[in-house]
Amino acid sequence: MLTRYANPQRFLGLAGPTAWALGALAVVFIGLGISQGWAAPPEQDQGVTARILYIHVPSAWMSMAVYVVMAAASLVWVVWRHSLADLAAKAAAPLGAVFALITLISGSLWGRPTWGTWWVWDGRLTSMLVLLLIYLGYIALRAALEESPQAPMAGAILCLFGLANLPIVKFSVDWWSTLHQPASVLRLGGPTLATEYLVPLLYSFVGHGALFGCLLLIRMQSELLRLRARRLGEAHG
Amino acid sequence: MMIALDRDGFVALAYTVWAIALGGLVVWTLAEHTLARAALRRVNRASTMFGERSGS
Repeated sequence: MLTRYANPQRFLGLAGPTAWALGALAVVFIGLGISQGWAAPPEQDQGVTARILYIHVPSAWMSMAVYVVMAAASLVWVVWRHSLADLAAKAAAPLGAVFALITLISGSLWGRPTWGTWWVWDGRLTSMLVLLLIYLGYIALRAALEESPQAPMAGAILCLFGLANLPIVKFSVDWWSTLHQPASVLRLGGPTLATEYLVPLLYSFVGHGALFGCLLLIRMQSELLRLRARRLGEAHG
Repeated sequence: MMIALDRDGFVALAYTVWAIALGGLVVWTLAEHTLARAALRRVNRASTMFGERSGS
């Protein structure tokens, strides 16, 4: 099945309608998540500041999920040398970088009124900053190597090495003493977050995920169209 | 630097940053897509002289 949909021509035919559907899904679910989240009563300790939850947490989860997608695509490229997999990894990197940046900025804006500081060099915040730097390093590497035949392999190696940072991001709050609260949703024993906050959070996460899927497909389409134009241009000198 | 913001201000600022970042990402992605389609259309037009055409 992978080979069937990994055909660039078939991919171009499917990507357009799928991207539109995912875009619509993203608008609906992000809208639902934020409107329901804002309608919930203010949290008893943090008050209205807790509303940052509905953008901060989905962005943080997405910044890690996008990296897993990139690493999986890189692995597919390393094993099967499929050009669409490399295209997916390359197209996903800027999206992951933006999610990581949103996580850091919204976290800082949440931390200032809650912890009394914009930033601390603890495990969670530092590993998230490292994740952003890995994304930027990957983007810079791909931009520097441009059309070089070594570019996909160099990108894949960097991406797969960077994967080691993900468990550090996830478990840093358990391994080290930190200002950041421990996991309250993705934890053994189930979520500790009240349902009235959890449901809108999950809606928002689904919406962010759909937005990523939509943008990834459009970026892959664009890259394929650019490649096709370049090859056609070269063929006719 | 001293920023005088109440809790509502921090929330508003966070949502503004989020909206600008994701909105920018959407606009950038669509702009790149439009440019890629236009480039292929241009090449296709030029290549029709050679009797070839690539679907867009």
